Amino acid sequence: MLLLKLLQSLVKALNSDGTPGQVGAGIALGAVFGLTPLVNVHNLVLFVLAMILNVSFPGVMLGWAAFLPFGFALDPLFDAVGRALLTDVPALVPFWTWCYNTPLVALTNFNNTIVLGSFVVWLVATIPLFFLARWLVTRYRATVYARLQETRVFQAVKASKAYNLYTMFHP
Amino acid sequence: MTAPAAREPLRIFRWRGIAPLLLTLVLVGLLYWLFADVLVRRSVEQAGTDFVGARVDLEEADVRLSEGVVMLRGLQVTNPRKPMTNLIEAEQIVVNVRMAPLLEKKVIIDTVALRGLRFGTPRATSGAVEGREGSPAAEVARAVDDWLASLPIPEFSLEGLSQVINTEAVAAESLATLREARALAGLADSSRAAWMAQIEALDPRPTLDSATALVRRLEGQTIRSLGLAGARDAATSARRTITELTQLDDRLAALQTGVDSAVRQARQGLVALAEARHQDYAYALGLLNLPSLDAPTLGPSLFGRFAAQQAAPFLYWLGLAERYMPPGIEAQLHRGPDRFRASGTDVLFNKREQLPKFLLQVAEASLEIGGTGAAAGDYAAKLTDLTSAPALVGRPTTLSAGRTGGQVGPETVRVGATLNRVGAVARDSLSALVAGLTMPTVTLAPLGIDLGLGRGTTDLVLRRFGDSLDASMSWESGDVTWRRLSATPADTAADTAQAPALPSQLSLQGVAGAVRSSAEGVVWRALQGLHDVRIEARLSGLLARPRLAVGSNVVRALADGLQAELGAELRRAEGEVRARVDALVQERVTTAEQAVQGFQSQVQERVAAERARVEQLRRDLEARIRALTGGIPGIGG
Repeated sequence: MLLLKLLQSLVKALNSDGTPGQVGAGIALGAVFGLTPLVNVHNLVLFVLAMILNVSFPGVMLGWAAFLPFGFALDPLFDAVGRALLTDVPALVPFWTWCYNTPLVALTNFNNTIVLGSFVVWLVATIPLFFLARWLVTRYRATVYARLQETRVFQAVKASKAYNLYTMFHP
Repeated sequence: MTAPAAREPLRIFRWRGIAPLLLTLVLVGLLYWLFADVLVRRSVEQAGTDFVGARVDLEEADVRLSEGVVMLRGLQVTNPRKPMTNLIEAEQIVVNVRMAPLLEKKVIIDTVALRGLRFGTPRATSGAVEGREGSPAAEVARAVDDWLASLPIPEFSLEGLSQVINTEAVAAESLATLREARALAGLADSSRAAWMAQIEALDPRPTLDSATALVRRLEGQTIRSLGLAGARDAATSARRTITELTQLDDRLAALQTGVDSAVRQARQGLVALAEARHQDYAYALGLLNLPSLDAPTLGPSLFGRFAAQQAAPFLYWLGLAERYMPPGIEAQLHRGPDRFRASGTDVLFNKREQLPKFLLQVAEASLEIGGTGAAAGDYAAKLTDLTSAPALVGRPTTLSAGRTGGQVGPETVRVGATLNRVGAVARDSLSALVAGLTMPTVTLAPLGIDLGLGRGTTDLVLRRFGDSLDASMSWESGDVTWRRLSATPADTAADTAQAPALPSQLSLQGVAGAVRSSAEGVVWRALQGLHDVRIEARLSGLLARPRLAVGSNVVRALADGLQAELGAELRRAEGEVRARVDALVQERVTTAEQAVQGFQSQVQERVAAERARVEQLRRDLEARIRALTGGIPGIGG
């Protein structure tokens, strides 16, 4: 069921839901949920943004699913980046000290090397990711989609009776 | 031509997403409300398990956010060194938590009240935790275990007395003296060759020969025989030669310093050889398993393991305090939380005048242990300022506990501890006195005897300053019992009879067998009449690996008894072992000594002789100059 919904969201995101820019923004935003440890305040804030900003929500889900394996695989890199930022840059120590001792901000867990490292990597990658995703979606719709929609698997997924929650979030 | 379609304005917000968002947030809030108790229970269990290094179980948690109160029921904390026993068990704990600091992920507890405390209760399931090899608790436990394993506790066994004393078992290749003697001889020879080469390279001969020739040429010459100009030239030449001799002497002096240092090093090698020979004696005696009868060796042999086991928990908790309550205010690194993803590292950025990550201001407990058991009575305990960052709190953590009443049970229980990590250097102290409580039974395995310490007094005083530790522990009882582990009525009857006298002229093997059979009786007779026992242990040195010294009146009684009856035979056996070692190493040691002697005499004496000759020539030349110039100024410049 989950797989089916994922396929549905993939199909919708890539084929019909919103402009390539909205899908690209959704993917770039959703990547944070895959790259950074999920249960953290910054993800709650970004989840709220994903719901109220006019980006493709299926794109968000797609970004999340697509970047989840990268999150696990790149943990050593995130750890190194976070450690460097937290311990090797004296100029940043006052800022981290403020974060650590400030109500609500402290809940972000940015004093954890993996959380900070993955968040910073996502932050740096967001804009390039947006343009890359937008270009790929455009290319996909122009070339692959026309042939893909003729296939049986595609028809089956599209005709599935499973309720699609994401229609509420169509841009 | 058709007009281009108007471009749809960019909409940033998706207003219809607000409703599901609010719904989601309400759902999250509802879930938290429903599962807050479970979350807190699991958090307490996980944090406690991480801290203690063994399972912490909690039956129930009741979170009342509006009141700032958390009620915990059915807490069990496993003893990390005894997984089937609880260190502490509490029926109910009422915790008053400040709410605002929680928004900074900081837990500030104003008061904790504990009820229904029990100690050392058995567990239904093991409280050992697996898969936490990298946790601080596991690392501290491993360090303590390593220390226990590495303690140099000498073996003591009466079995050695029953063996044939076969000195042929001592193999030459196993002796350190031989290896060191070979190395020393090689070093002395190579040093001699190297320094002789340097002396040759210095080549003092031409300067000395030239100076000698000049001395001879000027012998008997005066200003009259050479004339004024000739005398001036001769004096100038003599002074130039003196300068050359002085320079040569400087070079020789530098060489002599190096030679002296090398000779000292070689002679230190001879001292090391003597030490190595003592090690070889000990090694050879160890091969033969002959027991030492010296009290300083017997103490650790008999009570070292017991004392170390008693000290291990204190080292464990001090080690944990080291990890979780570091002195100073620098950023602290801790392992991140357990999750599917990697844990990473949490960096704690403490700042003065800010709250620490954890602070328990006051915890009080009172308990009444009923019945007539060994621990029955009323007790009270108070803990203050337990924190993860003592430097921020500015006060040391203190613990006081004691017995407040009761008709039965121990006479005195008094515990006081201070963990002062406010400054950059940790200063901890602990004193504990328990009187009238039944103490453990000590198994003296080498002797095959159980020592029941009975009711007595346990005293502990511990001081720690920085990395240094000084602790003394004592167990004292006037009501001990002795029990042979494999005693039969016949044994006991035989033990109480007069011990057989040792034959004066036995073969070594015969002596060994007789000695052993006699030794068991001697041990039993020496100890069974001892009713007052005091065991003392002292830990000192580095906190991470303290030295352990153990003494007891039991040891003295045993040593005296064994020395009186078996000492002469053992000393004779030891003498044979030493003679065997000497025979194996003496030739090589002599060679090494000769090599060092040769190095010293040839090189050192050669340099000294050259310098003496230089000095003599210099004096001769100065005398010639005085004779030539006759005190007339201006001659010879």
